[in-house]
Amino acid sequence: MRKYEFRWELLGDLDSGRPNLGNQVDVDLYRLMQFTVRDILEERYGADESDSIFYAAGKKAGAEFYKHFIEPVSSAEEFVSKTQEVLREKRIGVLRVEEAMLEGEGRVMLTIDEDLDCSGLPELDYETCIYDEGFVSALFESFSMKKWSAKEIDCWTTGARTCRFLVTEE
Amino acid sequence: MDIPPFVPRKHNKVNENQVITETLQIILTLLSSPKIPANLIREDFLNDYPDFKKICDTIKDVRDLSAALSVGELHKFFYSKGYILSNLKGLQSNLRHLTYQAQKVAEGDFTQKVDFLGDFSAAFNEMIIKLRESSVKLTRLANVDALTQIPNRLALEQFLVESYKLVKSAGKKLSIMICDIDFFKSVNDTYGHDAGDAVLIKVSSVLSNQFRGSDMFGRYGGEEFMGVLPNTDVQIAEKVASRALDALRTTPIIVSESVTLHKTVSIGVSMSMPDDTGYEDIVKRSDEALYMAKETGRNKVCVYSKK
Repeated sequence: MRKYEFRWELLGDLDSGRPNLGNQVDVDLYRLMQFTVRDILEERYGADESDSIFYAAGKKAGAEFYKHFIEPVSSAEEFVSKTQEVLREKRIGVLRVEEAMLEGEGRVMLTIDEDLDCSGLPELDYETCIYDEGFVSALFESFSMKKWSAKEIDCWTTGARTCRFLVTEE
Repeated sequence: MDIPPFVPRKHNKVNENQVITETLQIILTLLSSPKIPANLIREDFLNDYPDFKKICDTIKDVRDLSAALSVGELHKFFYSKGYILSNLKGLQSNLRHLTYQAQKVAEGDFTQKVDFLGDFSAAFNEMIIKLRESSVKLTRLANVDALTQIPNRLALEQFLVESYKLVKSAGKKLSIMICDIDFFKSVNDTYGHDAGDAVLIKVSSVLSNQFRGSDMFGRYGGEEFMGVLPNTDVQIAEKVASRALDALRTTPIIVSESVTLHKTVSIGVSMSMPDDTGYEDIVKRSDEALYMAKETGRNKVCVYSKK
């Protein structure tokens, strides 16, 4: 019996729970939680395992996000435009597509401007958006019902001013 | 100017500040040198000074990416880091977004909008608005009959194709009726072509009012019209046809100050059948039913039945 298995109900009823403060919170506090969790994960399990957990968590979030906010969509065009719309509306980031081959080769290159996780971070010489990688891959998996993986190839932390992901079908 | 020989230190003994100073000295020397000696950048040298190698790699990537961008080559990717290269990558990325969006526009998606390229964004978005307006205009011109302002044969055929797909994929019924104005030729012969046009306009207007939004009624050719009724069986289609017939019978058609006509139509109706191989089979049967209506007195509806 799992104790913490994710369900949307676990997030609660924010309207009744925060009648004065509402459902918004500062991005730095969101990052505070993410970066401290990551800190402890690395401390206990090492950087690789920490990354692996973050990727898996992002993947779960992406799959749930797709079910909750994106579907139903009936075409690749609708999938892309709906995802762009929702990511912007939820203030997660500004998604743009550089190339999209959803059929056949299965290769998509996209960028996320003003990314919630990393925009404005200092240069660190490594890409940091592991959680996003899992999230993005799950969106494509949920849409296509095939296995996809995502790799961040440019990030604020490597000097870029947008996050660029290469998403490929496995 | 001669470039002084460089004496490399062992990497593990080098002070970082020294490396930076020496590296900068080399770069400055190279920048002021008319040509770079071929033996300067040797592999062992680069191995001894990885920071210098990194700078060289970055400069090379900046050089290559800027050269690629200058000729619109957008498929080269570079993995060096840094501010200048990242800005160039940002430009590359924006141009690739733009390429993708232009491809979508070419496919007919006029919802594309650009908001990341300054003045160019405004120009691109203005172009999309104009293209959308032109597209709407052209689509209308291509699909609407100029005289009667109802769908033309092309629009009817496209609608038939789509409607028939539902017959095959979802087992839906499809009824088609063909209407022909009785003794239309005599209108032209007696009162002239303007009177004929007035009759066509009025008849099309009266008949098209009898159809639902999900149906299509259009001009099939000459004085012939077609009603396409998806998801409708032949009994309902027959009722629609009878209603159309009645509506027209009671409508006077004023063709000039002194001439008012009453016109009638003959209508043939048929419905999809399991053995059909295309919508053409239904059209053919409706045509046969129309022929029956004409042969048996006109001003009536005939439903196709097997002989």
